[in-house]
Amino acid sequence: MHEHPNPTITEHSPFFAPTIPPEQQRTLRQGERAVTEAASRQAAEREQSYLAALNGPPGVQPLKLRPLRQPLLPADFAEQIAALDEKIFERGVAMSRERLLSLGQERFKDLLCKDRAARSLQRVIFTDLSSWFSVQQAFLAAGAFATAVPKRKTSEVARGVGEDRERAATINGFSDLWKASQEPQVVRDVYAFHEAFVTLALGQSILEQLSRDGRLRSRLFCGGRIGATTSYFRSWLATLEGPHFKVTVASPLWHILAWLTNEHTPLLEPAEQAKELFGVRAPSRAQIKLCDALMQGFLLGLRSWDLWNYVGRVTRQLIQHRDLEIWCNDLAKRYPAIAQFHDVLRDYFWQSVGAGSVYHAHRVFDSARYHSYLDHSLGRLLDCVSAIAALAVEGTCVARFSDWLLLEGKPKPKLADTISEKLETAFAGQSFQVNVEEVR
Amino acid sequence: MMKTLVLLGHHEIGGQQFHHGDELPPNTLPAETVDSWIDRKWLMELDSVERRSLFRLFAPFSRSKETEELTEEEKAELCLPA
Repeated sequence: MHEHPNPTITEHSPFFAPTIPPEQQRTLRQGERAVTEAASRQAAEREQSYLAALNGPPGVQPLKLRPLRQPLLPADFAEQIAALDEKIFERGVAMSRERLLSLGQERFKDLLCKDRAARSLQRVIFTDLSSWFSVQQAFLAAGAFATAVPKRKTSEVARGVGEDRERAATINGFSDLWKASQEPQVVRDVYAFHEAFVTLALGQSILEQLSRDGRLRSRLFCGGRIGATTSYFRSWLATLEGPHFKVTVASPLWHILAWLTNEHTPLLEPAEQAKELFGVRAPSRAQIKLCDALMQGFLLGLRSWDLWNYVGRVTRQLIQHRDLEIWCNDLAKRYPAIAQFHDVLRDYFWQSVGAGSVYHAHRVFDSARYHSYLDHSLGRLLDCVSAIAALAVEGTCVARFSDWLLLEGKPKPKLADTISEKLETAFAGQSFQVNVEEVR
Repeated sequence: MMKTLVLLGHHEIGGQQFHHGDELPPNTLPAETVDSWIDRKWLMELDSVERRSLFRLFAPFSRSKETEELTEEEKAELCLPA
């Protein structure tokens, strides 16, 4: 008998994988992804901690700002000034109602002429020239609202640079209209109208606030800061009643900065500076004004596009940014102590941002805080100059502004010398030039 | 709402020359004449929101009997503080 051999049984692995239901497959994939993400996150955190440990703490301790040098003043100076300001307020400025009305009527006719002149060109069609919104709409409709300032690029936004240029490119009111460069004659006409309008608005408020005794009382006359209202008040001095005179301290901001920084280079007058900058023997008024504004901007610590904006606002001229940079560098070389003062002071206004993240931690310059600090500190010192001068002539002062005084009566001999002496005692080492001029 | 009257074209009223776009001082013409001039397109009537009357804004200087106030922002910026 044949015996059948035992059959050989071979188990082959299945050609297809066992079927897994789709829900289970999804759960498995999600689990794998979660594990990968957790591992990746842990690795990134480890690397970040490692780099943070290598680089040290990202936040830098901010420098502690020391107070600026203070003038030599009597202990009760603040009380003296408060009492003087109260006297100035109570005394008031003597003004003639008739002269105010007569000058106002004359200026109103001039305003109508300027309104007509601004509308006559018809390159930009205006509705209401007294309203900024209406003027803005008119310029936009005529396609004349663009500025020549280069736009901020996306790469600059990403790097966090060019903010000052973006600020300088904006047109936010009448004071910025000079940047609209397409229609220069229209812009000049609008400015002529606007100035006449502002002057009349101030004149009308003077008339309304004039007391029955013919005296004008306002807190503006008690240490008013340099601004539109104080400068337009000068245009109504012709309406003063009785003899008056002005006392002006020449270049007070320069003297304060020179005293703060021990700057020994003497101040170059704007006319002389204009001769140098423009290579001319008889500079124009616009060139002199530009040099004066440039110097003020330099003293206020403005640089780059902030300086361009400031000088443009004062002079209403579109200046090449590159030229301004060169002139500013020239000033920094001429007055090294003042330039160094601003450079050092700027170091106190760098602040750390993004602390705790090694990828985002960096330092930025807080421009707004720096300029606010400078404005406040220099404003206080300017107020000191004005207050010292006012105290020296206490009896007759009827208005005290930060850069000039208005006094009643006739000037006494050697008044300028008396004020200079008082100022030189407070600001040791500085020789102030004081001008006394009768108001006509 | 107050209205501001603006002249279209050149006109002479009471011996005074007015140019295109000039404001007509308030109460210069009788109401019927104003209506007739508006119909003839010699005058344009605008709301004071669109164009404020300079004569009313500076009434003490323009000798206008009607008055119009500056905005609060303008008062704060341009007028003398009390």
